[in-house]
Amino acid sequence: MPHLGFKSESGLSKFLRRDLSRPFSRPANDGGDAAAIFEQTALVLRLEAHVSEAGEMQHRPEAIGSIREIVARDGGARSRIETAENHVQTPSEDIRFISDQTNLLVDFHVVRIFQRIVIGLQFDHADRDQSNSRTMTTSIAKTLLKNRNEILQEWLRQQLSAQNLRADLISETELRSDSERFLNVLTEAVQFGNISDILAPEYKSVLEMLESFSRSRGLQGFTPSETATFVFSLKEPLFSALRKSDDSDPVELVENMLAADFLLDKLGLYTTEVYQQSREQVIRRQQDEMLELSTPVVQLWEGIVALPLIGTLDSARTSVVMETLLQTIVETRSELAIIDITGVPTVDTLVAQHLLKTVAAARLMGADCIISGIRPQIAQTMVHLQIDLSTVTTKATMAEALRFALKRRGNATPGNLKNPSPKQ
Amino acid sequence: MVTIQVDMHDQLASALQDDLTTKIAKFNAKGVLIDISSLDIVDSFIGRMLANTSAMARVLDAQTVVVGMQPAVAITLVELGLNLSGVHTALDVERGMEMLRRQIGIIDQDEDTGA
Repeated sequence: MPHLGFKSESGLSKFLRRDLSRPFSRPANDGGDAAAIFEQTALVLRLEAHVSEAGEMQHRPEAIGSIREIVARDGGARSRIETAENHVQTPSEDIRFISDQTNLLVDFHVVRIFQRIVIGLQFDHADRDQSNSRTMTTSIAKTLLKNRNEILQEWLRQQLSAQNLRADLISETELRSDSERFLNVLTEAVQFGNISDILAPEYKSVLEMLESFSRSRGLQGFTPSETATFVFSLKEPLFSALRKSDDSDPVELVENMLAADFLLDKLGLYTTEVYQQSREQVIRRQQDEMLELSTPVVQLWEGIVALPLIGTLDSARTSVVMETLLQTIVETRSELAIIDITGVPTVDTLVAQHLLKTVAAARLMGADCIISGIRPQIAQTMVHLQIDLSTVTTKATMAEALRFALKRRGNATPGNLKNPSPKQ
Repeated sequence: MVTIQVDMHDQLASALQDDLTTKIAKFNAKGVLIDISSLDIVDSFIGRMLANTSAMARVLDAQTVVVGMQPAVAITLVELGLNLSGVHTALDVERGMEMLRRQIGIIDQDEDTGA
């Protein structure tokens, strides 16, 4: 399955990938989130739509790929073009390969393949082939180690002069310390020789740093792309450092730069995933709060409780409603519950089923239910759907329901055996 | 009055039913109150057992009322699809007795007036 190079076995990456797919299915990530939060706070009616949306797990690898493309276009592909143009010494076939391939909207697989083709073209010697990856990694590691200060200075200079520097949200000292910290952990991690698998243990400190970085940036109000740009902006200084130190073998240089490019891409995308994850948490927490708030049970009279339902009734809400209702029945020792559905916009078979379940549960507890607030359209729909309400007392308005309930209570006095009306 | 406080399994359930029907016949009882307020967990077996017991009692001319059902138990039974439609329910023992008295009282009265 095309993926970002993560080992798909890791639970974390699977989780991240799944949660990542959903928001990326919309065109603008943060726009979608803001809309989600808006809809929730504005109208409880949309609650069902949101619960079902969050529940959907869409596996859309191509969606991930597309974001990768956008990123590749901005950060990676551009530098690849630069490479091709600056190194006229590389054999012409290589240049052609490189510039041809940059026209493709590259996804990871393709780039990987063409990287291997470039290597294959150049190296006749088998042994160089094998030691290739090692030289790649060690030279990246060496460069990072040797030219750390230069890279850091150049990186800071570029970040500070960038157009989208949010000077209002972050100070220069903060930026400096963040950059230093990232560069340090990254340098340490690449010394181990692995520059492709960021889920390996040596990258743990890098991932942790990126996680806390992404979360704090998110809290400060940065967009996910701004946060990811932090990582991507390291590419230019790193590439120029590589160029300066390694210009003896241009093809090796290209591989090094490609490898560094992939690595930084992965790390940058990781920050986006963490960002999305924390937003999802916020949304979920708000959803839970709204679920709780939206099902109050009030005591209308001695022995009579009312449950005004507002918004659509889905399975999640129904269970909350049932629990609250039954709990209140026990606490208030009520024998009658009035369920008012004036605020329920549509009643389909599912909603009716949930309602009937609630009524049945209440009856098992020894309380009878009256459904009130049935609008004319709802009545029509119910009959059309052939929903069986013969077991339930229904009234048009809560006033009627209350009157009925009071009469019932008045009649149900012990010892009143002469009462002609049988218990209904 | 029957108070169920332990987990029911096959033998215990059928023993209970035997015992119950014998007692109803012996005392000429007109009402049975089953108290399940100590029952936290219920499964389809117990649901069926309750329904069956109440049916047996009715055959012997006794009304059954189940009292003290916990909310969780009620939800489980509904989810399992067991409405126990033939079984009367009440919130607690007092109301259960009230209900039985009313029902039995009416029956007696009907018999008395020959209606």
